[in-house]
Amino acid sequence: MNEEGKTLEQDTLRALVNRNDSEAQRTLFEAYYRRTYAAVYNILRRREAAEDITQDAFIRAFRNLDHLQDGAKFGAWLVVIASNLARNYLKREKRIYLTDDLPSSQGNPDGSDTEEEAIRSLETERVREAIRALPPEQYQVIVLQYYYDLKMEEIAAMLKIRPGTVKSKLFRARRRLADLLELDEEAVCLTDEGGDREQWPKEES
Amino acid sequence: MAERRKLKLTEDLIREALKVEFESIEIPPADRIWRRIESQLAKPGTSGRERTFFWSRAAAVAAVCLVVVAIGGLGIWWIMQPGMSVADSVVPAESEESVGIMEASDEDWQSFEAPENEIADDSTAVSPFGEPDPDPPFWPPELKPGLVLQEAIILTTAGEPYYKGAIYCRGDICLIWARSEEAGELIDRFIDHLGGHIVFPPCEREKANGMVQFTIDGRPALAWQEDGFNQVLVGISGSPSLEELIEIKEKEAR
Repeated sequence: MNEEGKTLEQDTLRALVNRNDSEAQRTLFEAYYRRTYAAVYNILRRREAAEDITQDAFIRAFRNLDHLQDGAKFGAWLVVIASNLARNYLKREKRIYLTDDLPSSQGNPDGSDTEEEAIRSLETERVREAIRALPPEQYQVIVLQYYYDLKMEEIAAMLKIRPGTVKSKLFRARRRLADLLELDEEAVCLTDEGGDREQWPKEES
Repeated sequence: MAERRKLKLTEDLIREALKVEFESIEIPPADRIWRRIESQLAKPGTSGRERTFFWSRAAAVAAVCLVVVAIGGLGIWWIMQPGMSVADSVVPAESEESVGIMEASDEDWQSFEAPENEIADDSTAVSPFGEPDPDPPFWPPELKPGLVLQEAIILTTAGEPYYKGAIYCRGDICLIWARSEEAGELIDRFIDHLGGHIVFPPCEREKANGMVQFTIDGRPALAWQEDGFNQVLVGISGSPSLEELIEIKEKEAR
């Protein structure tokens, strides 16, 4: 999340809290609709239901703004509300409808990607598909950790679970991603640089 | 083309994938959705906990009602036929159940916080790396000058062996010293399980001088065996050096 985004959230939230400001609510709605909808859609895979849930999440968020302690976390808080609603919906429905993927802009339309960029883009797409295939509870923690950059304790507080549980969900999510991507164990080593790693030694006999 | 390069699941790649996922979506916030939100918010005295109204569900319920009424009507007609008694007829159980879905169940609704079934919040869980150990073994109060014992913990993950450990800190540098509780576990397996407990997979393993050096989340770690029991020193914050871990191991962990 960039600094501009944070300023927008804090100013807009202040306006909302001070008075029931419809314009401020609309600004937040427009700023956060896409990513909230995307998170819900990834859990439900149903456009209409995702729309209903996203709408409901905004209503609940606006009505419960006083529960939000840090305005800079509005996006993460909203996505927790939305994804929890989506999970509850799934539990009730106990079935998943597969639909077409959402329209999204991918790659470079003018075809000016270098080979390196094209490879990276394909890798990103593979990881993106694997993330979509995660179970909802693992998807939730991956999004909070890697998109919203929340600390483990912050995720735990938002999801009302223990930090140790967040830890194990994250670990399982990464393992699941590696499985989905059919990576070997060595490739699961997470680093910021993603540099080459040595092979893991075989088990001692 | 992409197959030529082996994919590495890096944190950057996950971040990039999520950024594309959330920021490239071409679903603009529709006016009609905003109007619905606005009208809901304008309603006075409504709590934030009512259920979402799904038109598709309402249509399904209406269809079920029609079927139930039709079946019920047919049943009554059947009973009223000459030669039939009430005792001869059985109301299908399915009909009763079907009527049941007309009733809104409070169990369906959970609060927007959606508390996890399996976990209750536990404010006593101080460390994200484990649970406080109620019955700790002896841990030296200080490993090196300034590197002071903070708390004894149990590193545990469901279904895996647990280890007892202690957190030592000096300023922002913290490390865990942990030991296996049972002898005989392969040291590589021990390191794998430890990675599970600490979330980050162990990387860059290198065996030298009876020790396994590796990294967890880019920080140095050191594992060794003593009398069949595995032990590990692993940095968890700040930047303890591998040399410092070796020095601690040589001095304290005999």
